[in-house]
Amino acid sequence: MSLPRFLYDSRLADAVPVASGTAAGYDVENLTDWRPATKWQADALPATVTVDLGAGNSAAVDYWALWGHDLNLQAATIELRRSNDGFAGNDVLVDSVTPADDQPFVRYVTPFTDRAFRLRITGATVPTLAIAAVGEYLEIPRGLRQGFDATQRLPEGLFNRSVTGNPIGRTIKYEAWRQQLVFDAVSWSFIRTTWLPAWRAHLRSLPFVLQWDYLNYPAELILANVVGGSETPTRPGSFVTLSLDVEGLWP
Amino acid sequence: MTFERREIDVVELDVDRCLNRYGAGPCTAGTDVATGTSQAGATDTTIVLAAGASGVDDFYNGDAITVADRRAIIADYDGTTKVATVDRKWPVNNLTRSRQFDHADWTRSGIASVTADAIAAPDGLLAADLVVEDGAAGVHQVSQSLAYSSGQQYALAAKVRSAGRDLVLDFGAGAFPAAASASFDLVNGTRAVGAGADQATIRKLCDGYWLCVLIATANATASSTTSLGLYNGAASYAGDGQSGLYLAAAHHRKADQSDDFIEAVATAIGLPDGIAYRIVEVGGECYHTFETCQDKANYLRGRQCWPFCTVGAPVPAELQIRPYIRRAVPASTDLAVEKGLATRGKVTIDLLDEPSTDIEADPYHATRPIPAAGSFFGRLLARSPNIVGRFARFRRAHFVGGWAEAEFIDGLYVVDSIAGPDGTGQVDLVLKDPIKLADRAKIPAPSSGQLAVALSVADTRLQLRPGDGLDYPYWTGTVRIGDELIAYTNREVVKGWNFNNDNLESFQGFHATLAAGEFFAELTSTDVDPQLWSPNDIGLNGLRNRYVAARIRRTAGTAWAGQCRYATAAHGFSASYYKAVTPDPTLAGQWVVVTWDMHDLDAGGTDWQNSIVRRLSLNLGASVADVFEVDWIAFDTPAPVSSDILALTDTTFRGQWGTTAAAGDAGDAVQLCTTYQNVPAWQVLQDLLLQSQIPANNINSAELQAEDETWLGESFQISAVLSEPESASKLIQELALQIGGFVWWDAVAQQVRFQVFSPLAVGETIAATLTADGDVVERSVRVRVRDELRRTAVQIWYDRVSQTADLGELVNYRRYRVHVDADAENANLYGDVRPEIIASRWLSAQNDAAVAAQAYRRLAFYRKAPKNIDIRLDMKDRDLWVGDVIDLEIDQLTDAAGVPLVTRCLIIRRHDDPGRVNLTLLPMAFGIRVAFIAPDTGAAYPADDEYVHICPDSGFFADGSPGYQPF
Repeated sequence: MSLPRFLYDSRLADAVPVASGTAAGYDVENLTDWRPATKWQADALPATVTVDLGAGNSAAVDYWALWGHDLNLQAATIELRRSNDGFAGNDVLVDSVTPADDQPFVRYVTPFTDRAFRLRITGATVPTLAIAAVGEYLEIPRGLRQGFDATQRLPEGLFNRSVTGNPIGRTIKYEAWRQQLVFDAVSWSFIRTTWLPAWRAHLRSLPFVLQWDYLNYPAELILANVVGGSETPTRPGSFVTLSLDVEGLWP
Repeated sequence: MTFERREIDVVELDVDRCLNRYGAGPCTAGTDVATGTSQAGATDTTIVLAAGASGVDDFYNGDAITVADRRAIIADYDGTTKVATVDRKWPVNNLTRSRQFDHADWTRSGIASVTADAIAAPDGLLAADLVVEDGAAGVHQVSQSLAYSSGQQYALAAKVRSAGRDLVLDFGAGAFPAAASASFDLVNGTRAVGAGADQATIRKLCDGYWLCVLIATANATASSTTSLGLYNGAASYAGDGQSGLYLAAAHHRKADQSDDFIEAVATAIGLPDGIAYRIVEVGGECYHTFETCQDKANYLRGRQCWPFCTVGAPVPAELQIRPYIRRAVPASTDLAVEKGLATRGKVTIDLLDEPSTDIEADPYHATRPIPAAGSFFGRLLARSPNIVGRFARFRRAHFVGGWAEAEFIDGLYVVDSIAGPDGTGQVDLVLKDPIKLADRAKIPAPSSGQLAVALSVADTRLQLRPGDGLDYPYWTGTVRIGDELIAYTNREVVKGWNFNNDNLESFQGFHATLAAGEFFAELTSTDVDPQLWSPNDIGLNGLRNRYVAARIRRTAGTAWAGQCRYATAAHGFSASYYKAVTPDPTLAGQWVVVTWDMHDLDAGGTDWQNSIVRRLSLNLGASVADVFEVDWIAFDTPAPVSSDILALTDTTFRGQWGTTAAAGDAGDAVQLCTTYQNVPAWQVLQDLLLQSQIPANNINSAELQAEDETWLGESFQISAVLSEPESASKLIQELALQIGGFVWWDAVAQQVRFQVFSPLAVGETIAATLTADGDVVERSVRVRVRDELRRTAVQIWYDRVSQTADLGELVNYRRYRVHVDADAENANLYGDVRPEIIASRWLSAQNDAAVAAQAYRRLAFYRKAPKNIDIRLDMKDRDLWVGDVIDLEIDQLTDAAGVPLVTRCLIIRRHDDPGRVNLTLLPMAFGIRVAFIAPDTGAAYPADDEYVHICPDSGFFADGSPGYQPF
């Protein structure tokens, strides 16, 4: 089992993203609000979404992710590109994928630092995207404590039997996933230099993608929310036990 | 058979929204930085400002520029070339009359009719046209011929709703490869792309509309007939003469141009060359609501629809629906047969709130100096405090697989309340059915008029205060002064025509036929501009005759021009001289008085006042489908003198409807009454509903009429006067009860419905048979005996002595009819006396037979205490609705020997819990055996056992016994 990763950091949020064109009723800024219900659709293909940090600025990237898309349905291809001049002349392909389904995905790339970043979509029919992130992943340096249930399904609904006991139907509203993530023996320095900045910047208030085992089950992603707080009681030595309650919904 | 379903709710909330863009004509809001007229040379994202514009580079950067009703932000400005580059592509539209499919710019093929402005469009304007196919085989489409360039990719789009047919978009063969088309399934939201097209998309909008887009590349430089067609499995098919589409808007552009629908009227909308522009400051814009409007005179009310869905719903990628619904509990209307008018159905919805971005709600979010704070609903309610009373649609689906549009069942409601967000971020939304409108309406509407001078018992002229007269119809009406009802024959006028006795009064139709009737003339359109022309040389002094009025009733069509034109010695009928009344004041099937103020012309200045008018033209409709009945046309002199006098023919018109002529004082109220004289009961009900402001298309008039004709008939014709404002819902309830029926809102049909409480008619079928074994959920059955409704006698008082006498005093009624069940009052049975006493303002001496029948039917049903049966069902039976009749077999309903009975029940209430349907049923035990007599043309008994058979043709049965006789 690999170490769990929190995917929230995104260069697309570092500046106002600019789309090549947007269909009426959508907005490119919806890609960066971490809400699966608000979306972006280009007005034509090929289409691009570009973030330029400006001359003299740069930032690091080692993953990119999409949540809520129909790239497969529309037979579209999406690329991650980079540039050191705001795509004035420099335009380098970093990664490309034509998804085999419309499930969320996370793709890791060789880490790099650059000034501008671009998603480029090609194909015949315009797809729709809900959330896009291009950034650096946060990996917890300890594994999940025993008891973690990655495949838990908690249906919200009920089951009906007739007067004579015959089953007559079942209705569900959604399937939830609720877990307590517990990481033992996490160092003080990790908590203070990595975890708490991430917590303040994003995790305490916005959804994030949790990939609990990127090596063995890379497609098992969940868009999670923290319910409550981040608890870090100390343990012998310079360690803490990091725990937080999270919940999400299965698509 | 499917066992598991996924329950998804969607609420579509209509919120008012101004359709103008901030600072773009006609909106004058905003602070000008510069104005001018653009030069030629615009591109998709640039505009060339006037030669006198600033010569400083970047001078206008960041400002907004508006051109007609287009708006963009200037991203870069070149002071030398005057070229401003904007942040978005300019909307264009290559079509003409892109929202007027009844216009001659659209060529029709296989189309029977186009009804302009039939229903509300997605933007809220009453602007969607109903296009109906004819009965012939072939294509059924509207089209325009457009020019194309070879190699260029184009997009054709439409906002459309099904009226029984799907849509096909087609660029046509002239400039495109074969099958440059696509068909769109307007139920399931799927499309099929033709071989000659590049792509097609379909996206759900609110209120049943879809956005359909076709993209294809021209292969020739030529013109091509580009069409929007009806589709029924094929583009060419045999029509039925009834089915069609609602077309709200069409859009045509090059594929890489803006897809923002912009309306084109007489000419296509191109790039902004040679057009007046405004450059305005940004940052202080409105939020497109009346509350935040900065130019209220030019506020144009439309709607923005906000869809919300259940938390966790598997929403398709292309749909933007906020997952805010935590819980929704729809509770149907309660038919309450014993009361006549159902209680209001409602949906209670718990919504989540969140501190979301403001991107969708605020079109100017990008240029606000401070990003939006607060939460989604906090902002929404602050900007739109008038959501209560607006329409909302509640949609519920039970998916077997993924999202399936066809699974949704839609109900129409009005917002009754919205509260929150509270400290937990919850918003409570309550929707109620549109009969709620009748709770607020008063019938008759309160009048404002008062007597200007005292009235004696012999007076035949009622002098109202100056200006009051305009509230009263010109020709015939009934008013109440004190306790007296007075039937005036007209407001005093200079000249008028009343078209009585088949007299067309020398009028004629132009682009229309004019037919005479006993009391009115009928104008039937034969073109898109039907006109009613007066005789020549009427010699009317325009200075002394300010108003032209006509009493008209629309019987077909929905288009409206509403112009009064005229001819003088100096000019004929002309678009340069007219007054228009807008918006359309007519209501289908309802008489209205339309008044044109000719001293306030829309074109022609003071020409009317300075002229002797020779001839008049009333240009009422605007399509070939329009038909009007015209009761009278009149002029009057300038206010106030004679237009404020209600004239009577003689004193016999005083003291009407059983009242006595009496003197009145100056200042006495003159209340205009609503009267019904020998009107079928269904028409009275329909009128009460219409006067409650319930839209005509939300009233099932056909059912009203059919129930009346089947169960009521002439004996239930109504003669009554409503002489003081009362609650419309109270009046509807009274009438429905007293004619033995009940009125309710059918949320799924989205109509007010009416039924007489009666056995199933021949041919009517039950909706389902429910059993304890396979349908009814365990431990859910409850049988309630409603002894409080049991009666031993029914007494109906009717035929009021005076139509203004106190309704509650039985001495004010001349007649009564009573039925007593002596057995029930006997000590060996119930041993009590429970009379029901009904005092009816609606029924009069002419209704003797109806009263007798009503008293008998009512006692027959209520002589035993009615039962209500509560049961719970799985969502597999979700298609059962209030008003349906079912058969029920459960252990709790047995005969005296304990054998379960199959009991026929009316569903009177439905209440849904998550995953379950709760029904309340009323057994239809009418106390007597009833049946229809078999027609002579039917099969003989027992082959046809739906009927009661009187006897064979011989008059005798096979055993020689004589036939039955009705008693």
